[in-house]
Amino acid sequence: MDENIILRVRKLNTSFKTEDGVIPIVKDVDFDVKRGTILAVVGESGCGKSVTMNSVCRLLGKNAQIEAEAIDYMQQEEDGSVHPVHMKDLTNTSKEMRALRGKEISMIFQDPMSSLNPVYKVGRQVMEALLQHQKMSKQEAMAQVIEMFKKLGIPDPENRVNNYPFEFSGGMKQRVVIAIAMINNPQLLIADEPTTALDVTIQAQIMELMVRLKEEQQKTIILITHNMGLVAETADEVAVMYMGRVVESGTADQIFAYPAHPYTDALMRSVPVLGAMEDGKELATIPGQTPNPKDVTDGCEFANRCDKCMDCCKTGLVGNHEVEPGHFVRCHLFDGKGVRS
Amino acid sequence: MGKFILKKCLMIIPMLFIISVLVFFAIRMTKADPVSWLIPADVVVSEENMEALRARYGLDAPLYVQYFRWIGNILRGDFGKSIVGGTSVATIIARSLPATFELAFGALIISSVIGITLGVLSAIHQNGPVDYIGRFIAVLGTSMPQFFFGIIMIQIFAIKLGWLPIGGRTDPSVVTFWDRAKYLILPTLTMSIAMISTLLKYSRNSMLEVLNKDYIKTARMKGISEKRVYITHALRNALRPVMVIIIFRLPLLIGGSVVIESVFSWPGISTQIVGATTSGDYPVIMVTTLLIAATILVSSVLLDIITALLDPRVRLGKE
Repeated sequence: MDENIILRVRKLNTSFKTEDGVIPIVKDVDFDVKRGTILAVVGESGCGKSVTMNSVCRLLGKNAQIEAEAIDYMQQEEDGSVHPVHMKDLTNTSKEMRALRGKEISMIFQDPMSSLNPVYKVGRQVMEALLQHQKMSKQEAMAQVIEMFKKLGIPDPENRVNNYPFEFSGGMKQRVVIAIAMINNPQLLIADEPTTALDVTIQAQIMELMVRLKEEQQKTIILITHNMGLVAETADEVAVMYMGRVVESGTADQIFAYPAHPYTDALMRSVPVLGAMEDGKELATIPGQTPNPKDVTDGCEFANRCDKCMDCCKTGLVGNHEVEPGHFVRCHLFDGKGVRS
Repeated sequence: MGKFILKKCLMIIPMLFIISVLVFFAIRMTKADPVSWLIPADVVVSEENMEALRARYGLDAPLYVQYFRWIGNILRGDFGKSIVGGTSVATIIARSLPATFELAFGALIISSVIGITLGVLSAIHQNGPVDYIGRFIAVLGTSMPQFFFGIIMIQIFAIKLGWLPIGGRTDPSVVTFWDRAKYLILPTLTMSIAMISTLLKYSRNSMLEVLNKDYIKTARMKGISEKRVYITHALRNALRPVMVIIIFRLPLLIGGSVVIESVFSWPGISTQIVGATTSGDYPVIMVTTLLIAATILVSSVLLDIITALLDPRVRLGKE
């Protein structure tokens, strides 16, 4: 297997058992994450981006059923050798899974207001992650926590470690969350909409921090977002998801230069660009609503909202087609059944 | 923290004072003439003798004078005398309060330990067998009346099996701890059952809610053990609402265990209150009411302290 790949996911299917039956949320998702790059997973709310990542890290509740052909994490040892960990065979709470969490793979969650335990001091919460994976005294651990706070730009770290989460602002809380994620120096960082709950100036600072992690420490980052602007600024690779499927994937350059899937195209057109709008022109929107996952039946999930919808789109599965090297699109426009407009 | 506790404790004093005013005047406002309770219904007593009787008990003075006399005596440690039996109220309380405390604290501890443990286990194994058993206990405990449960317990363990005494608190042959403890088992258990089910429900729901919080995901993503996730991260947050239920059960257990006390002929304070109320024994009523009010106040201070210990947001004054 390619040594440059850090995480390989093949045919990931996650469904939830509910009162209405088993509802598939993530369907046949494939993706590769290259070491030292930022992969952006883009899509509307409810498209399954978070569920995909939570499936990989096994953070879902008992009503979730996760099936996959492969979820392989390429663990790099200190001597540089790489060996795969087959994560699909691990249970939610197994030792092997816990050894990966925090140490190899970390996650930053969407809402910093709720991702810290309100009753413990922040220093202790970061230290807990460190002491879980490394043998050291509490003093040594605390020194490292302070060091990490400094690196992440938290002012007065010596005193701030003794504060409770409620004594921090949103942006500072998110830095603490990032400190928890980074303290064990993991190779893969999954950031689940890390800036959605923050205001724009803080957003920029946090994203700058992420890009620096990639560039200075060669970290790999999976950035889950619905913000196309962020994707354009930071991502190397992009995967666009709709209703639990990856509908288009490729490098950021490819996708921004040539958004092939009608959904990607519609997403791009609905991004407001400051100063570039003609007077009186309305911002494009995607007609209709994302269907409820339990109502999705046959055919392409986007068919009922697509302006290029053809008869063949309404039934059967849609194949994945390579429109240029490394650029895949799941759409009938590219398989000869229909004619590209 | 010390200052916080001191402040809360000092607040009890003015509140107790206000309650004493309310208790005193409310009872005297009922217009029931205490003296008339003293005289058998079929005896004719002259107005002069009635007045003399009133003067003897100090009931002829204006109401506010009577109040200050009463509260003054209480502050000096004199709770007055029962107008029915002539025993001092202090003696009545000293006789019955320890029995009530014994029962109340026993039930409180047993039900807290069992209720919270079952609730937490139910939440962790949601929809599993443990959860179904827990939910069954919860429904059973809330729907079965205490006296009924008590009678069943007596029927099985005292009458059929003969393992435990039918009722009472002690007997002349009592020597060892077990001799005393066997009297406690049935009433405590009966008293606990309803509270176990309430606590089970509350701690299960509270725990389920906390387990859905984002910080539980953060904790799991650190790679820590599930045990640590449950105990360190979830339980401490889940306990806060449960503590409210536990602490405010305390005054209820002390003042409202008439049913248990009569089923098990337990010589507690509730029996005294009911007796005093039916016979118009106002000195006893006033002091016992004040006592229950004091228990409620102390409980609420206790709750504030526990909440502050559990949650830094309260301790540091941000809520």
